[in-house]
Amino acid sequence: MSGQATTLTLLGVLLRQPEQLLASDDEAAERDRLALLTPKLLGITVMGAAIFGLVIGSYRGELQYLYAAIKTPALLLLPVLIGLPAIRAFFGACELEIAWSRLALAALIAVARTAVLAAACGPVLWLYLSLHPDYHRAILAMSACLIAVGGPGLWTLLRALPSGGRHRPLASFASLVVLGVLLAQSGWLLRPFVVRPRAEVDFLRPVEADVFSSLASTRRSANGDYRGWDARPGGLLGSRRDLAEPPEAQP
Amino acid sequence: MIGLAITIDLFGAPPLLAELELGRMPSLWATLALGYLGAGAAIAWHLGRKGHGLGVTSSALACWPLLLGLVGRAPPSEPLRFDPRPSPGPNAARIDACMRALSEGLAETVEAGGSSLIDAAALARLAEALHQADGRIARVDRLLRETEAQRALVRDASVDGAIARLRSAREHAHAELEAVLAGLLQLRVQLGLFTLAGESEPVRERLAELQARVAALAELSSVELAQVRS
Repeated sequence: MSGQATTLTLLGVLLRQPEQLLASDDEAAERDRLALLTPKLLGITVMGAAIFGLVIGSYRGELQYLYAAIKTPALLLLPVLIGLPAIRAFFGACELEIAWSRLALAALIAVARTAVLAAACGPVLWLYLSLHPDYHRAILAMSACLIAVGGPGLWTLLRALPSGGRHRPLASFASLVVLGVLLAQSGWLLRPFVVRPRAEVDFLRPVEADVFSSLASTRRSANGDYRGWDARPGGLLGSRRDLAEPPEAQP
Repeated sequence: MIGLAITIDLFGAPPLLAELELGRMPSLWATLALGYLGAGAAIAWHLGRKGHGLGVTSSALACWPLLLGLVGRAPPSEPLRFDPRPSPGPNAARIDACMRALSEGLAETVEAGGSSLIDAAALARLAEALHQADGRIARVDRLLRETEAQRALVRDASVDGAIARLRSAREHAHAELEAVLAGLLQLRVQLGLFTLAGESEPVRERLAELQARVAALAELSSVELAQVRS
């Protein structure tokens, strides 16, 4: 491998040796890398995630192709954009100072790798969805794919951060928890991704509290208590919807 | 913005929340979105003024939190390469520092309202040529070390003569490289003069002279090494 980096070369390195994309010498070199790689990594993220979104949208078809393809890149990028300061603070608390450029570059590499792997999972998921599985099975298949590709992505992020510090595993665990919660809530805010074949297609559903209240509702339903099935609208962003109109039953 | 929203949500006074609930909620969404995009636009404009390319500035619009590390920094002078230099020479760090200082100086002149004096690609080519020359010096150093170790085993006057010529060629190439690095620093100073006087021609002439000198350095090295081989 020699010469200047093309996007195809970058894809190969991203999958085989993502750590090679990180400069290891000094902060100035890391900033240079960030400036050079950001447009390409963002482009790869958007393309890869959009392909995965198209596959998810194929379960419903029509406009959902477009909606899911637009929302899936945001689903991958939002947790990183919001959670990066917290991750830096966790590692700082463990006496491991990480330059912002390095952290941002590591996060971008991790997200781009996740997106590429998600796109690679696309054909398998598409084949499964073309068999018209049950709605819940389709959601489970999508979640399984996201977990399968998210694991290597998170591992890439943690490996890309410098070693050392005290209680580093604690900071890594806290970072994983924060990113996991943010990913779940982002998915909840940006839903629907998988839409029932005969349901109406919406770009975004009304804001209803958070993903945890939904999980609590699902748990109640699983125990046979179907009262109050819906997640209750709440919080600053969900309150007005609660006052203005009754909550709709959403799967 | 997000922190503000969460703080208001958790600790805000009930009248404020009630007011928001009664009719201001869409404007809250709009404020959050506009605030985010406004910050992105400001950072994109700043990076554009520093000389960063369209890719970086448009990325900053959407993902500006990731690019905060680039605020106040000039764009990189070298293109992205994944393969490390085969043999970084003894002056690699100095070359990088000189090129970085020069590109920062160029960014300052652009920021001060001047046009871009030197193409970034030309700077990248110059840096590449300097690293190549430095790499050749490193290879010659390695060769000299290996030969010195074997001299005790083989005593030959012609070998001694070849080593002396190689050493002389190495010293010449090193002196030329030093002169080019000094020239780069002078160019950095001339950029300051350009900021004051606004004359761009001396800067361009100086860069052309340095480029020619580096090209001559490559030719000179090959000629001198050919003499050593003969």
